[in-house]
Amino acid sequence: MAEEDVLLVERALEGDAGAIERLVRAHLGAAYAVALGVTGDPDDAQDVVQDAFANVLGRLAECRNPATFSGWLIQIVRNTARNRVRYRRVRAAAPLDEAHGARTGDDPSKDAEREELRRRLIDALPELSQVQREVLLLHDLEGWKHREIAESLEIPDGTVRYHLFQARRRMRKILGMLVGDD
Amino acid sequence: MIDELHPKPLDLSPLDPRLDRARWEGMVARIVRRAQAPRTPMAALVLWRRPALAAAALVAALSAGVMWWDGQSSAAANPANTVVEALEVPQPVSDWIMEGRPPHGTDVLVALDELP
Repeated sequence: MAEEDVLLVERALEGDAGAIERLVRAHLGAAYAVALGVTGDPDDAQDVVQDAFANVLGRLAECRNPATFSGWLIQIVRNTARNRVRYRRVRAAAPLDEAHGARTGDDPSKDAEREELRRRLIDALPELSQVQREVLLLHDLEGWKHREIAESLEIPDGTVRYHLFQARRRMRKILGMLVGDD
Repeated sequence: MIDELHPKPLDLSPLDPRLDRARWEGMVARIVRRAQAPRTPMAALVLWRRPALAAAALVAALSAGVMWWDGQSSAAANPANTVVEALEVPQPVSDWIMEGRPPHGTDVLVALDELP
């Protein structure tokens, strides 16, 4: 991934639109997972990743080591998401259910059962700590390895495993047998 | 024991943003479009998501523009070649500045005598 990032960053700096798009597609999932982990809100997470990508791609020339692009991006996503949370607290935004419910009505193909599970997962996420959410989403949603998460969060590998264990246990307790026991 | 320490992964797929294909592609398209858009100061302001800050920045930008315009107009109406002229420093004082010497007592008396 790092080698491919180097190539894509170099080509993106030359103005290659295809390279920019591939860079976005390669990292959007992880960026979204981190943003969702910090904000706990899918709509906020979507806004955060768009702002963070705009920031990163606008300052791509400052990325001295393109091999570390992923870490740089994730750090900016995390900071953008934290700012978003602070701003939301000040603004006292509408409750999550209202914002989310308004959006889901636009998708005619949604499966009701999946949507219900999605809503329950989103409702349960705030019960975890921020680091637990990030670890859980990066590992169980994005498929990151413990080592990769440890590097991104700058915490020991064992701590990642501990947070993952605690997060899964807590989520199972909240959600009952709805998830992961098939 | 392993299961106890490493319980099976949770099925978080309902949270996967890729499931909603249209929304996912829209997100990619918006990011790519923003990345390719020319960065003018006004475009940067429009991209800001905090209305109050964006409005404050807009007011600041407009104020700076008005001040610049006003300064240009004043300069055109009353051109000043030097800082001393621009600051309207009295003639005797400007002479002392230009000559780079402190005024003597007699200079002060002469200057006072020349005042209208």
